[in-house]
Amino acid sequence: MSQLVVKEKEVTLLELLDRILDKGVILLGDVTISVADVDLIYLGLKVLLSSVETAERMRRAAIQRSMLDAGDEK
Amino acid sequence: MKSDHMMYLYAITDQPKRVVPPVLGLEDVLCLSIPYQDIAAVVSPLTAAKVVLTESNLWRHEAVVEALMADRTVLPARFGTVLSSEAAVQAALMANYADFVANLKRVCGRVELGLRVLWDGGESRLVAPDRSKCMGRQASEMGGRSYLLTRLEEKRQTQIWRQRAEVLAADFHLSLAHLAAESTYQVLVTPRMLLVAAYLVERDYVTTFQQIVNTLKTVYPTLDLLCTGPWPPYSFVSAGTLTANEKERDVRV
Amino acid sequence: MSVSDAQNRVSEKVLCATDDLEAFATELEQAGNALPRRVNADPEGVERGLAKLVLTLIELIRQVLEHQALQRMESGSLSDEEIERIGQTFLKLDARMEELKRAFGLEDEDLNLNLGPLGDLL
Repeated sequence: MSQLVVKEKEVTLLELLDRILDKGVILLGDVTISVADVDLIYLGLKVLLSSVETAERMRRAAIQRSMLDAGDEK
Repeated sequence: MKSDHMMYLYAITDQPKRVVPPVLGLEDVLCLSIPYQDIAAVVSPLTAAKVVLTESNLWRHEAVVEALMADRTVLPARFGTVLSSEAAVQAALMANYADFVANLKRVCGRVELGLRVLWDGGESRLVAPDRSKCMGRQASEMGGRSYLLTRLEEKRQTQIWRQRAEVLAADFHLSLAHLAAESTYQVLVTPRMLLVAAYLVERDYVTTFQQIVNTLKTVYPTLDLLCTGPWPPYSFVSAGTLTANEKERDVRV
Repeated sequence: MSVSDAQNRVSEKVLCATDDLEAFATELEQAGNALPRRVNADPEGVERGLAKLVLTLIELIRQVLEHQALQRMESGSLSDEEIERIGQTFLKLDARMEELKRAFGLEDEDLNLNLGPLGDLL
């Protein structure tokens, strides 16, 4: 997988996140989001959560997952 | 009973009689449309007690909203919007009816295009307070007065830099804003991010918009730019409010 | 449905871009602040999180005070002696903050001091 394609997907995700988590129709008292211990947000994103340790755990999980996926990615 | 399930909201739409596209929502379930007068809420029932913030769910949410956007007007919901039941959805539609109708009218036939522009600051810009220059020395060695004078000069340079940025960003923005029904615009979100803007553009104008951005690319070769879209109009829908019978839910991290 | 399947359902989003996408990724991470900040309940992280908060506040106050001092210096309402003393105080404060930042492994970027509209006041 070329570097440029990876970066495009990353910025697209970041652009999506900026919109989908922060904007759009908001109804009072409606947000129920929680973070799974294992599922990750995205490799490299560190600002998303204030929880330093959770973010670091996710980062490690993300790195591991990307190493496992490296063979499958086109 | 389906109506007892919690409902995950994707979007408010017009054309309530239109069939919901067979796109799978969160938890791999089909979405349904809950109508109210001439609008509808597109939701999917949730079995889990919480919505998990994962990349997969984010893309899933977006896929549903975009499938809807293909053949109707949408007000995209923020990710993680969950209502307690079908009845609660009905109540929300009723309570916010006027608001939703007005917003649907505003964004009808339009999409959101995003633009980000980076700059290198230009030659006259000093690096943001490089106080490390002072750090290496003893306080007495530097002198309080000369420290303050240095800071004063830095502040003046920053002012010039900031003004230059405003002019540049405004110039960029003006080339595009005329194509949009509405736009948002922010300068210097970070020192490198010169401009962040969103444009609510008629679908038919998207190609023209793209062409202008490409032109700007050549006119400003030292700037880095990123134009993305078309997106559902996340940045252009205002918040609705719910009536008192829906309780505040926790954001658990 | 895998992540990439769901992602592929969403049409290509990048309409136009110059080459330095990596820079955008970095800047977007820095500028992003999607979820409300919460204090980390984990004991190890608490100290660092609090240090970050405290240092950010100190930096903010430092900037406000410095701004005022510079204004007064420019308007000529400070004596030479006062200028020297105030300058020395800021130098010492700077040195102290650098020490604290080093102790907690924090960089300037970590203090995330993007004041937005407040920045215009300074």
